[in-house]
Amino acid sequence: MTSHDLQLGGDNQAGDVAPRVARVGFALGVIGIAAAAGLGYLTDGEDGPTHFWFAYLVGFAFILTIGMGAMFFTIIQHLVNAHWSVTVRRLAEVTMRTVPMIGLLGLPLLYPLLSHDVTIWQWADAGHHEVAADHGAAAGGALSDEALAHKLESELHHSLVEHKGGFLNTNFFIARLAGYFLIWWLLARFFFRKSVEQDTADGIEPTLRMKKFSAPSVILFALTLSFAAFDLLMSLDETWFSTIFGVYIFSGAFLSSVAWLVVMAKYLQRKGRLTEVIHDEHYHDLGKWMFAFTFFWGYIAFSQFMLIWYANIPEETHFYAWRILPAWHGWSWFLLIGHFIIPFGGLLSRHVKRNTNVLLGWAVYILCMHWIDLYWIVMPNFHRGEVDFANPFSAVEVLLAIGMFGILVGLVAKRLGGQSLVALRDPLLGKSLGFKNL
Amino acid sequence: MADSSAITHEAVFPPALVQGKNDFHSITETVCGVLEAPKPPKSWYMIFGTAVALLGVLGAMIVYLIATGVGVWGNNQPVAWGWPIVNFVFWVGIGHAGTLISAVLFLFRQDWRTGINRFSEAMTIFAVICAGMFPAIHVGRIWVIWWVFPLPNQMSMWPNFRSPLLWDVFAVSTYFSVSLLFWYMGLVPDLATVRDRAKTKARRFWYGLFALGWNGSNRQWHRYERAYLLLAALATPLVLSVHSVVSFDFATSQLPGWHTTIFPPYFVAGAIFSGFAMVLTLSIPARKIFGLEELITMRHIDNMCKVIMATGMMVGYAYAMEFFMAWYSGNEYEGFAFINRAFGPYWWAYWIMVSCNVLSPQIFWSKKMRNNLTVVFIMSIFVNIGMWFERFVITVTSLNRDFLPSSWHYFSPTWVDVLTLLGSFGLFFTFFMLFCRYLPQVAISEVKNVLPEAHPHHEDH
Amino acid sequence: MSHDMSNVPSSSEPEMYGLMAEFHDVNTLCAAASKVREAGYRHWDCHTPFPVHGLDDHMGIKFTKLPWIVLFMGLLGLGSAILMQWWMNAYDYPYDISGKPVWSIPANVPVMFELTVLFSAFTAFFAMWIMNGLPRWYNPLLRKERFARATDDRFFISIEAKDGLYNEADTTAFLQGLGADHIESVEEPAERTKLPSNLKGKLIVAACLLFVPPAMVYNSYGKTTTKTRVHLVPDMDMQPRFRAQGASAFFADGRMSRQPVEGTVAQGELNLDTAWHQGKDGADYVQKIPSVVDEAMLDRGRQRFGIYCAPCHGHDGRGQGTVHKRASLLTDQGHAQWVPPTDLSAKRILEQPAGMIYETIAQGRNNMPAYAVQMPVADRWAVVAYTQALGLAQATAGPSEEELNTMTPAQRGEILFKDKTCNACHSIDGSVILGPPLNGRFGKDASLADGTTVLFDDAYVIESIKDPNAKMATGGLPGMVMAPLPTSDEEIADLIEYMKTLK
Repeated sequence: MTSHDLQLGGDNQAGDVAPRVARVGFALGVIGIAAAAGLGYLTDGEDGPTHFWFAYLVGFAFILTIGMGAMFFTIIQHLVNAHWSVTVRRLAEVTMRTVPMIGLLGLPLLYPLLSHDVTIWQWADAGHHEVAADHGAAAGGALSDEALAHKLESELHHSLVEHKGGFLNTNFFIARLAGYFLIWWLLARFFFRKSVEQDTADGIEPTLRMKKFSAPSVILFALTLSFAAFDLLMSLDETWFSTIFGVYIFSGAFLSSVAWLVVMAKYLQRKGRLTEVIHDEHYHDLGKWMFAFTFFWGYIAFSQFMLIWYANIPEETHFYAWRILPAWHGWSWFLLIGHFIIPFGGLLSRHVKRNTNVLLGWAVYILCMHWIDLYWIVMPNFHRGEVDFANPFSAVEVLLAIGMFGILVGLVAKRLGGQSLVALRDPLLGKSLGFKNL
Repeated sequence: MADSSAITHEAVFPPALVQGKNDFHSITETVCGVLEAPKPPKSWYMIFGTAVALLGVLGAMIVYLIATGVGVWGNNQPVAWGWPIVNFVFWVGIGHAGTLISAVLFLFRQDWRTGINRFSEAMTIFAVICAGMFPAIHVGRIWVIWWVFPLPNQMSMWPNFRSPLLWDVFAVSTYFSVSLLFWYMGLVPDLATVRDRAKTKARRFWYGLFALGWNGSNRQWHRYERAYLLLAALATPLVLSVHSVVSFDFATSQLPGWHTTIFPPYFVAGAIFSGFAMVLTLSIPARKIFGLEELITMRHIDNMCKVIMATGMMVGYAYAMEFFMAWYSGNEYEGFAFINRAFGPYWWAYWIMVSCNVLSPQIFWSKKMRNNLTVVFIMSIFVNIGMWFERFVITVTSLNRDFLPSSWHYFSPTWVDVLTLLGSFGLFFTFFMLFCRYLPQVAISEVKNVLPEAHPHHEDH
Repeated sequence: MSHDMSNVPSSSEPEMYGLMAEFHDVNTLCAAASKVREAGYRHWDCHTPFPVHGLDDHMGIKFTKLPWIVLFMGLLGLGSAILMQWWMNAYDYPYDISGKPVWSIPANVPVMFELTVLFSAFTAFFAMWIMNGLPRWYNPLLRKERFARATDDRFFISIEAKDGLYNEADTTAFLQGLGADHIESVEEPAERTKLPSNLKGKLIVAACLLFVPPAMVYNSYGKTTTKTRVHLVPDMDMQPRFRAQGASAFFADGRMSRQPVEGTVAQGELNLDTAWHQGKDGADYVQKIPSVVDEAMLDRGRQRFGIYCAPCHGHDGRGQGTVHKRASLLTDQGHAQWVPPTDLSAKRILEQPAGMIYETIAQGRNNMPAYAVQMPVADRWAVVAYTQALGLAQATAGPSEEELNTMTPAQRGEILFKDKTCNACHSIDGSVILGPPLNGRFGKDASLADGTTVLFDDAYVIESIKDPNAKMATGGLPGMVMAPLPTSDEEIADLIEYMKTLK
């Protein structure tokens, strides 16, 4: 089959699949989030609301990173003139196009940011909490050694938060996030529109436009994603810092988005779509990317851990110290083995990468592990300061994960409906259909 | 207008990788012609002569160093790591492009690598030799350098595996071995070509010896290609690991400006950046001197410029992140280290680094500049200079401001430092010139493979 | 071909290697390869100047097992790296580096990775050549002039004579039918260069000999020997050292030791705590030892006192140490002058503040030298504590052994009378405490409880002390029995002399 034969036929149209999936997705989303909120607010005790909002952030970051990974996937293909990926690029574009809508899903997070009843970003409430701590100290009179150490630590903490105040304050935070989403919206809209325009264009003008803007777009992408990662996730632990953190989040985002492409492609093919467009060679390459980024994630995660472990400087080590406390010890090991060692071994063989059903299994697995990774980053902040750093894992997180993922599915399915499932007149489509792996 | 639309069209449909009216045989002729010519071009003698002279200087410096002791260098407290480590990291970095071009671009199916991979692999090996020389001679008693390896010795002691310096020994020696195998493996079919064209008995013997009896058997090609793919897949993470391990030498410490988590990928990006610059520095004159313009085309050079721009941007990203985190962390020592870099006693080194590595590659946004060989050549040298200064800035600015202000000390190199660095270029270019003269500079069999007629049924398209 | 043979009458019909067919483009080659495979040939091959993609399928080449071998060796490399690092750093030669555990897995990951890659890469490289049967420098095909283009721009199919379907005429016709440009038969050469005889045996012997030096090294490993050791690196084994107070031509001031930089104090030597470091609080000596005095400290003090103080002051602190004795002897003979060591139980010493004793130890006094160099601060205070305890004990303990020796037996007996607590029951003034008073008794008859009398003489006293109930005397409270006291014969003699003096 060559590109000349490709038409906007039923094969390459989502058709009635899209609205059905969208309905299921949105229903799952609403039910999941509502049930989680109910559990959190009504039955989870005093900490319930905070628990809910932490879990909400995990779910939000989960689908946002998938969308952002897809955005990178799209832009980089234009930048390097890749041909193999043309047949699956539309799926990535559709996913990327949902990022602005995911941004709307982030609006509720303004509540924990602004309200003093629920706090997930401690710095946002720093002044509020500090007063209470001072009261406690004053009432005690003379200080024991422990209390003194605690007081010094809290003073240091206070001065650090004050030092960062120019950056970590609610107004600037909201402005930055608004800025990121604005940029992402512009990028997503541009690359989506141009790509759809190419479907019916006579020349290759839209492709050339996309190629032209791909390089500056990647720069914008790198900076916004890094700072969004610092803001949304790293600043949960307001004294901790790591220069590699943006790269860490990027590696997980790209990995999960490739896994998501495999899931989408397999689903659509089972529904009889794209059957002649996406074949084993494309899955093989997607599998290679999953393998490569499993390794890359491991490399970045190890670099961050090893350097902090080796230098052993308290201002950094607490991030890992929390996560090897009994409540989190197992989870950390699970992440190492489950996010790196198992998929590394599993995806090593070319037979796995070319067996699309097995590959689908690995893709789903990787999506789950990506969520575990984000959970591991966010949730230890929930019970921090308490002796046992309890791991609050419960139905709330699971419901929110399902709900958020449902919303992503719904948003993507809704977008799928509008146009061809494949970039029809892309100049490199022919090459993409015909290539073979060595 | 027609011209400009052709250029934009090229963005998606790049020109053929082999220019001119070349067929299989003419490619063989072009590449083998260089080493079969009775005499190399005059410029070869000039460069080779200069390189050998510099190599002599290096030899003299090493003898002087070993006979006298490392006190002949400028290294002292608190700048205990001076030029030798700067030179080591500089050369190791250059040694990264070869394997990157061979392995990573191979995995990415970037066919344009075929024109330059032999070239850059050779460069890698020579650069790693230059790099490895510095840690070897800095130990002072070079005759016990084998103590860095875990070999049984009369003291019943073992090396310390918790030390990043020992990781370096493993990483660099593994990298050297694997690069050498990779390079040699690629050479074998081409050596067979040279063997089969040999006119003299000596040539037939020596090229035949190293060609291992290769006869182009497809059953052998099958395993050969699989092994090549495996080596590429192994060499790719190896490239990441080598410069990551080099970065660990710095980043596992607690020194402000050294200890930061982005060091591993940042060093890797910087290494690729400098390596590509060196490939450009070498290939622009080489393709002219040896008449390889049809195989190392403007498209190759254009692509390398883009890689330089991209990796330069990654390095810039790392500079920015370090600065931001130095402030964001609230760590006053970290903050001081970075202010000191930019505005302290070595401000000039810092700004050379930034202007060469981040600002100057921005010129490559313009296609016109990427196609101007003079500009590209000058820029590639700028990048080489900038990357040397990057290592200098990291090493010296952080060390010379010790935690004890009484130890603060302005580091200056000695004449031995300077001549050793210059001499290492002599070593590099001596090897490189010999390579250019006696081995096929372009991977003949691989370039043939990117010709359209190399693929069955190509007429159908 | 047959006319070639006639030129070489001595050799028999040359052995055939097979046929080679030349093609000029990849398409014909691929089509031909498919046909050869379909015809059922097994010992045949294509020869191309570059890997022709898709040719593997045409030839029906099975996918190589190489990746599995590489995977296995990679895992072996990983395992070796783990084992090696554990054995070398955690088991055989464990030592502490920056407080890291001897078995630090995160720090071992880089080497694990490198060795995995090293083993895998070497395997990929060498196993590929071995599986390809290379290096094999001899090949009949390489003798054919036309075949030289197999590495340039032509494509060949070779079919070997050992194939079951091979028949020179039929196979030639078959190849012609596939569109070959040229077909040629390939012969094995009549004679091959012989390898040196018994090459294998020689190689095995050489390989065995290679193991001798390591075996010798292994044999001597970790053993003791009386022979002088071989110094592999003599300048490290025997390097010149700088000794404190030594002379050195290297430094301008001619001394080996360096002074601290002017205006600096070495870490931990600021010694702001004057009470502890100088024994002084302002200008005044500290009265008490500025730390907790416990048994461990006294024990340490006793030990240090024994080493540094007892030679002069004596183990009892009375100033009668061996040095003093020897010095006194020399003084007596007029060879020297000697100021005797201080009696540490003297009242003026007991009244000295602790800080002053400390200062004496640290700085010396009169002809006593300073001990600051030998004794660290904590040891000095331990000696202060022990000295004070010793002095106090000696002051209440009565005369020293030395004094006892110079006393009369009666004087010693008087001291013993108290030491042995005789005076608890026996008075010397005629009054009755518990037992009979002992004054004015010696040399007279004493009445016993059984009504008899006995002479109160040496024998009676000896018997009474050793077995008090043998002859119970009257004069004490009724019913009182004396307990036997462990007393030596010399002491009893002294007591007797003392009793003689009691009137």
